[in-house]
Amino acid sequence: MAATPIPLEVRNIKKRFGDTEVLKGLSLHAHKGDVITMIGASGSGKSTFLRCMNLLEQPDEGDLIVHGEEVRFKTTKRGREPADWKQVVRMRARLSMVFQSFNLWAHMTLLENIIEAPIYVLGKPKKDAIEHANALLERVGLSHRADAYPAQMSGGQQQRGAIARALAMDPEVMLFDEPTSALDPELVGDVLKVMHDLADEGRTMIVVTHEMGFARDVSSQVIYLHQGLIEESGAPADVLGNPQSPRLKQFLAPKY
Amino acid sequence: MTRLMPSNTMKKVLSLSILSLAVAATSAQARDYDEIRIGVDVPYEPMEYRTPDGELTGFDIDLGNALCAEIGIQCEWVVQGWDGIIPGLMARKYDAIMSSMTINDERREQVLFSEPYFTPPSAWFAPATSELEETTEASLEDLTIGVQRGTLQDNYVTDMYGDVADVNRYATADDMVLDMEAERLDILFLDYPVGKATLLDSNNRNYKVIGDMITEPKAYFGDGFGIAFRQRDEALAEKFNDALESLEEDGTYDEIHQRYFGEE
Amino acid sequence: MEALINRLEALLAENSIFTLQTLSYYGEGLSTTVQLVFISLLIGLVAAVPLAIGRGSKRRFIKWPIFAYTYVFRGTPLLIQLYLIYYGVVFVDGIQETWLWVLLKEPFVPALVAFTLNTAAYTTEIFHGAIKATPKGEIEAARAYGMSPALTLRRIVLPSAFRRALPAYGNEVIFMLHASAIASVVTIMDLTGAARFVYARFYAPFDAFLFVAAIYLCLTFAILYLFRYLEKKLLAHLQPMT
Repeated sequence: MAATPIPLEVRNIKKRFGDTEVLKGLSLHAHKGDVITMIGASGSGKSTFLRCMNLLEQPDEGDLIVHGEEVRFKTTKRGREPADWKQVVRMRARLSMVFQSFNLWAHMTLLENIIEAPIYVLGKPKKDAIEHANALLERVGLSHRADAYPAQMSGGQQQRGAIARALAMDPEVMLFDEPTSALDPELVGDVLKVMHDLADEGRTMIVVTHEMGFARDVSSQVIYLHQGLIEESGAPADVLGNPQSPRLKQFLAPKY
Repeated sequence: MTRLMPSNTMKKVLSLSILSLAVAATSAQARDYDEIRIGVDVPYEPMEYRTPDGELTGFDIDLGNALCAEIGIQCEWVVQGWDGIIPGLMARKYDAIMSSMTINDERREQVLFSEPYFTPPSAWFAPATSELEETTEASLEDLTIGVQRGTLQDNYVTDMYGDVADVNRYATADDMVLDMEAERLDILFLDYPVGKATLLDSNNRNYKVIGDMITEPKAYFGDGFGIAFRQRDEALAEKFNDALESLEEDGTYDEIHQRYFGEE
Repeated sequence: MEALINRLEALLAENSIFTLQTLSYYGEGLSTTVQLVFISLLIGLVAAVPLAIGRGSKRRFIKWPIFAYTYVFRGTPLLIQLYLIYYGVVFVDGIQETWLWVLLKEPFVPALVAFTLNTAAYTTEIFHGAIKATPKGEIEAARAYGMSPALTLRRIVLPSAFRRALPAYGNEVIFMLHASAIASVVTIMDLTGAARFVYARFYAPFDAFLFVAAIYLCLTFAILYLFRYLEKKLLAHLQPMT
């Protein structure tokens, strides 16, 4: 009677860039349905931490366990590297990432963007992929832009499209790296709404963001990072409503 | 009556004017050159080529210099590629061409020629190992023939053999000889003295002449080599003709001929 | 039809330069030029893809030889390359006895080799630049979605790069067409060779060369038209919304 493994677990992640230690030992557990928001100042390491979870950055120390499977590392003269890249590919297919600058593939239409990874990474038949994609476009309200190219869409549309692309992989965990930071204020709302719907659906999400409203209303857990360490962590009401550390108080205080 | 007769001063002015006009008239006609430039395409051994020191030498060069000495003018040689040699004359880059140029009707339309000063035959040259015995259309079928572009040999070969054989046209005779030595050509056709100097008498010595020397038909072979001038320079051409005659009479021509063509 | 040909012949017979005979030389020249240019571009293009990928490799033993090759062939004039291959090859001892000689004797193959090596070098650099310019974010997204490096190359990097390289490559094609004019220095009867022949025979530089210039213009126009069509199709993703 083995317990169902939790979607994502990272332990004691450390990361150095040159001489600077950016991540000083971070750990996180994501249970199914958790919406974990990470906040912090620039340079606190929150994006780097997120990118370690799908190994876009290689952590120098620490463990990464995706759906119970632990990623194996080996030490080479270049540092620590995954031992088995096939495992990495497999693991990445379970974690979808939404980027700050959308990163849609410019030479493909929106529909082609969405079906690309399901077909070529998961091996889904094209017909099924297209069907699923159309459903997703419907969900994010972009059915009418299926044949548009990214350059022809607004930032908000592109990001919603990117979210549809992420959903097409049916991921265990969705990783959001400052999804609204590059958007004009009017467009932020549309994207946040989609994310809110996903959370309501029960998706497991880890979100790096500056949107405090979202953090307060949607997340199940808020983590505040400072200089590579977790300063505070807990329910939104506690962390945001009643910050303990002076730095967090200052971070949350209105600037103007 | 006194008014019609010129005064003494008037006479002097008049005679002076008439004299200067006369001089001017003769000059305009003769266009007296003290110094001329002669265009030549180098190398084309033994007619015109460079010594190892870079000096110009050859039959044309030596004869040309002798002619100029006889006329009493300075000559300067201007090296010009064969392709543009006649346009260069027209453009006044030089005043004459002495470069193994055959006198023929086509060229006569563009330039004025002196009397012929040398009439070499053309010959076919092939590697000594070649099995060719004659140069009929049948025997040269499907072979590769080399000629220098724009020469009488080019016209002759193109018209006679162009349909049955591959004709490779080269900008210089040197390039042609190079390809012959590289075994890219089965046979080539050029002025006999040049072929002799560059192929038969060269280090390699494994070439031979196929068939007879060729001097006919006149349509291609014209009247031998001549010196080319711009068509208005009749006086200059006359001077060269006279000088040529003198050199032939006094033995200078034979001496130069002997120097390059030995016992022939 | 018969009457048309007779009419054409009569017309041509009137002028001394553009007879059926000389026009056949131009025809041969056109055919040779098109063959030389097309074949060398095709082989060069195909070769340039793996070379461009290798040029960006992290492994020194791959990227340095490729860089050396593109440097040499872009750093020397095509004419010199042609001379070296046409005249230089005969200095290899005994080359005339090998089977290679069948190919190397005629000037066409040496010229083709020189042109191909040259265009492959330029095209490799064009593609390499285009590959390098692929937006990093797109590559990152591909990795994040579980695409292997090979799959990323095939599905994301190369399609993106080829589209980016299209304008520059169109220039390269036109450049090769005009560079091919030097083929006549090694006796090839290409378009320019035909013009030189007519010029040498008839002392008519304007007739000979203007005619050939007109033909080159037509060929260039065809190439431009082709590339405009390709750009419309493949660079649609960059067009603004209508």
